[in-house]
Amino acid sequence: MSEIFKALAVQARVVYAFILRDMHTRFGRSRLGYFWAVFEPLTGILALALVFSMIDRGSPINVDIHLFFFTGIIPWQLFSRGVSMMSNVIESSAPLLTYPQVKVVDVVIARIILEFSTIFIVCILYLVVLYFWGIFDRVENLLMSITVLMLCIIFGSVFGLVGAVIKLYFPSYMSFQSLLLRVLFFISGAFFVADSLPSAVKDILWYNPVLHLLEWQRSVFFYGFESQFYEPMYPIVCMLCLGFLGLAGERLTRSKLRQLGI
Amino acid sequence: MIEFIKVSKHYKLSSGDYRTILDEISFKFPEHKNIGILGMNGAGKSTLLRLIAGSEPPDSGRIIRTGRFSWPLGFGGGFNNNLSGEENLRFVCRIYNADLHQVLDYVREFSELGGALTEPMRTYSNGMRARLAFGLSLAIEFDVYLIDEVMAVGDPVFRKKSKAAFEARRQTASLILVSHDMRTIRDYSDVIIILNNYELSIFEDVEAGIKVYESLAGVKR
Repeated sequence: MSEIFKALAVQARVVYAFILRDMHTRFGRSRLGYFWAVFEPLTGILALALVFSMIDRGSPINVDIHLFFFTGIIPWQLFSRGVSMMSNVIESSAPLLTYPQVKVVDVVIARIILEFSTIFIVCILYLVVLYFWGIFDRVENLLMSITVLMLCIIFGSVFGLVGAVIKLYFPSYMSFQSLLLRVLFFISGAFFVADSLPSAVKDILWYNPVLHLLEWQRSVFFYGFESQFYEPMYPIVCMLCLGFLGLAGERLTRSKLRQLGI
Repeated sequence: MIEFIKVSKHYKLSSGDYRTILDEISFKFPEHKNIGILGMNGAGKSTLLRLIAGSEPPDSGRIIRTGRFSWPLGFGGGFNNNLSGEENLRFVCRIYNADLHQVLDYVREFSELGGALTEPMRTYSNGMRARLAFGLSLAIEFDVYLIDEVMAVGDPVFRKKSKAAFEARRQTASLILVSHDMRTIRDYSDVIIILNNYELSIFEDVEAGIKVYESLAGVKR
């Protein structure tokens, strides 16, 4: 038993070291890192709000449109950042595998923790602003809301990890993945709710796990909104399957890395 | 202490063929001795060192280690080139749970890198890398230092300094060393291990080991 604790302590130390290192590379050099972290969601929210005002559409549910887009853009961003930050995780951590206590999974965990904390702090900042603006009052179920946001980034990360493995065998997969992401943005509910869709479309989009996460997120965030669409177990099962595939795949790539001279 | 129990290691080459490094080898490495590892190019000396360190798992078999082993000190991985020497040092200290200030002071003194410590590592020469790696690993205090080729780099003054530093550790630490440079091997080793034909053979007498190695090299040529 003490062996397990010892191993966990070592892993925690390695993850912590990676978090500090990544923090340093992202935020240590210039203030630009903070700037992007804060303003990236804003550009998404404002762009969507502009488009909606141009086509004269209001918020799909009974909340302010900016707050509605906020609850779409943030989980989407967690998902898509999860995907993109994993795309190079295997090559970039390969040289550090020299240290026997370092595993690729440590880098994966460290990146998830750092990215989630960053976006989470940015979220609080936004909510404070929206609160004083009078648009936002409070979250219906804060704990569930945070949990679903975590699921968003973990789901994105395991999806990205599978992509990172596939990339080593088929380098062109990355262009397919970025195409897939672009399509996913439009069908994952960043700017609509599933219950407003025609049932034929809804039946097809049911297979998109990201849409489930966003619907779930809005249902636990807003008092007046309860989606009839989402099934919590579906994205969770998808996430577990992808996570298994990604981690198993990463094991298999080790000899491949040697061939590629990484 | 390190012991191999029925250890096998293969590599799949990009041609699809397999290269064998070790084939079901059981071997006990001598304790408290500086070991020089010799072998032909491509025999897998660096891989052997990585197996000893635990940087790579064997395909089958078990490796039993007691004591603190350094990472394989070499030209390759271990450092992030976009970070400065000092930032890399911080990272390594954290993963080995070493006292940052103590290590930093030691490395500053030992490596004589001065202002270069805060420069990105991509600007470092091989000699500078070796100085940082040696200083860092000496400061962390391992029981066994694994050294891959880097011993021979640097100016004579630094070589002398490294030798003195490892000499001072002889009571508490030992070396396992891979090198093509017979002078380095003679300088440091107490025993020779030759990796040939997927097997390890040990020579208690350094000169005898070198002789066997040179005859192998002659045959291959």
